[in-house]
Amino acid sequence: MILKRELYQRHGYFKGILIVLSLQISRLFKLFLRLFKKDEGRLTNSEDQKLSQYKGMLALTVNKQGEVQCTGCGLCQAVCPSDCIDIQFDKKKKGVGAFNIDLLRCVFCGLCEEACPVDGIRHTAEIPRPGHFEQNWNVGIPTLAFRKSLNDGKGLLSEYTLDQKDLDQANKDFLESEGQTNNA
Amino acid sequence: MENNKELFQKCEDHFGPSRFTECRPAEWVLIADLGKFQEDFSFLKNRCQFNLLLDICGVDNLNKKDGCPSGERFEINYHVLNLEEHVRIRVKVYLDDGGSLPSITSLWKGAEWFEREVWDMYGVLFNGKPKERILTHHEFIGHPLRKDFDPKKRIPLSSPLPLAPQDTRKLRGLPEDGHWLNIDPSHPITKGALRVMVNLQGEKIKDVLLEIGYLHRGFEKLCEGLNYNQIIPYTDRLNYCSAALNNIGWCKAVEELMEIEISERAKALRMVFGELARVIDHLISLGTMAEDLGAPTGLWFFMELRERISKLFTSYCGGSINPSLTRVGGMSHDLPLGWVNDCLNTVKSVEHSMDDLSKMFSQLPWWMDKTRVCPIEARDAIEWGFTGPCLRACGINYDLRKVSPYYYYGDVEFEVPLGSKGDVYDKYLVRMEEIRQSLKIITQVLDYLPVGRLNIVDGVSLPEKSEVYKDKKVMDKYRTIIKEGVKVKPGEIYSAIEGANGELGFYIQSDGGNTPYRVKVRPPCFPLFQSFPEIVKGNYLSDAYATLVSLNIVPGELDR
Repeated sequence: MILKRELYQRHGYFKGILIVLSLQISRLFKLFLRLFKKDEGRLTNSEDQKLSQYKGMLALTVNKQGEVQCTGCGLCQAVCPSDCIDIQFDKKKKGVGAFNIDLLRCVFCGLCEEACPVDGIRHTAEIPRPGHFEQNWNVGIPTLAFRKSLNDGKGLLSEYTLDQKDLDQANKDFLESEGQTNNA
Repeated sequence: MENNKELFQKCEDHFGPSRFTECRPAEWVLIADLGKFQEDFSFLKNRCQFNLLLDICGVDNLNKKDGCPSGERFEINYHVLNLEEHVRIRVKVYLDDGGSLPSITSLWKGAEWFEREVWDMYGVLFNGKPKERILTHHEFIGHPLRKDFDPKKRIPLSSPLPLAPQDTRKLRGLPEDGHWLNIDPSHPITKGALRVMVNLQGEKIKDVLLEIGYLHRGFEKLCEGLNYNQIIPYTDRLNYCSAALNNIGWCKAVEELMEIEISERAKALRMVFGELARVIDHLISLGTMAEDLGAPTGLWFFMELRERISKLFTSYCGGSINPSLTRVGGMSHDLPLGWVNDCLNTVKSVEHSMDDLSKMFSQLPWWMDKTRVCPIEARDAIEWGFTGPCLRACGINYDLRKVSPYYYYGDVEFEVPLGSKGDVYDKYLVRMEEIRQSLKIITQVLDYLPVGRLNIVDGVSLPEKSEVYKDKKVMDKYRTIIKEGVKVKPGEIYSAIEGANGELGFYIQSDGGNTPYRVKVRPPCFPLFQSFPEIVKGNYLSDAYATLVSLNIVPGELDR
């Protein structure tokens, strides 16, 4: 496609000034009108989804008993590209012992959320700011699951209900990964 | 197609079938002979019209299971493109540690930086001599992409490169007189960190020295330890103005290597998001151009449009700059409810605003005074290895979406805008028109958006979450895919898409595991920035600024 020849023809200075001035004035007028329109510039339909999709600060969900949903299977740890998740498995409890995330390493990609088979970890719409964690960027379960912004410290309720099979599977997964690290 | 066969026959007759094979349609492989290296290349360039050097890429065969066919350690791949038949040829040459290659800078000017990169990363000599380092700093020891290099080793820099160093000046025969001016790594006209040193006589530029590598994060080394899906968040950081296109390019390359077909809906969605990302990239490029040429309000007009489109990304995947929206075998998830409607509304409003913006700049005397500078000849552009809007501004009709259509680009209607002189004004016009064409593509695709399931590739793409929760068998399958990652059979591929800045290519070599053996990005900025000294020589300093922004150099992709 050859571009139009007119595009290469130069306006005179006076005409140029007139064009730009008229455009600027009309823009100013439109901006003034926009003050009275609240929805201008907002996505009307998918705005609600925006918050649920937002990749902000990570949160661990809780089950109905108010405990952390995570089973400690370690899938998110395996899938994390920046190696920021550290899970310690509690062998006696057969569940997660400690769950730490190094927020300075996290790239907020959302792969862990996608990998979790029990809806245990989610991105929230909250944005981590420099003052949030009192310089302690390696956060554990108290911050991840029960911080104040999540339902006043009660935590987010998970969509999935755990059963015994999931816990057994998590235990198996953990033993497998432990075996691999021992061999290595 | 007929011509294609003719060309293949011609090459086969010259090189012999033992050295010359077809790897894939339009991707040929030639095993070069070290003795007749220069002759092979000049035959390809002068007799077969393979005239655009895309990339030079080294591979270290140290850890490979079957190793190299003849036992040599290094393998250097030259990718050359035929602009008429749209065929790419990969010229392979094997050599040992400490070996030397004949330099091909006499054939292609653009080969210089690629050769420097190969020396920097692998320690392969050219014409028996070491080259200057390019991506690592000048006090660096060792060659980082060799398999026996320890990536945890830190080599600190004691003092920065002085302003126009004596030895570099001597080496390149640069002038001793004149005034050297440093345009530092953090100058407002750059989109990241790069250093330009200019030699001025009065206000005219006599010579330019460039230093890059400030944003080198070792993307290619990093990829060797990650599996194919984990690399996607890192591709976001290549060209951070149009991250979605990098995601798409990477996933397309992996899928072609695995020979899997993704669903129709995923293809269409990739086209939509790719074009939205292209629009964003062009808007940023034009906005910064306006700002740097003395119209700071222009930046806000363009950025306002960009903001509207960014919202579409945020509402789809939660991140506007780093979306990581594709997965191998499809997309990360389906569209939210009402997204298509929002997208069509936004496209319409952006189209409307583009008309105003184009009136505000095109044809105006002050804008034309500042931008009708630094023309580039089409022949030079090909020599340097230009692709994308900068090549089309020189009048060469080459757009990968048109000449070798991937996804549904063959079925949509759009036109490729061409400039004539290749100056800054032409690049501006081409980008303005490309935005309109991209918006046209988006509306066409959304009108016929295929329905059905998004991720359908068995054993590669993850099952839906709702099914995983319901069925234990699906959950087991889900666990295996996540734990083992995507397995890719042994092989190699060079796959390219039309990025916002030009041809964005990914060269992947796999040895059958779940991590790639070698990844090389062909960044479109690399050859563009390399040509910068020659374009601006003899022009005013303000023209150099205009050229630098119009080339749209993104250091994230330049330095990798």
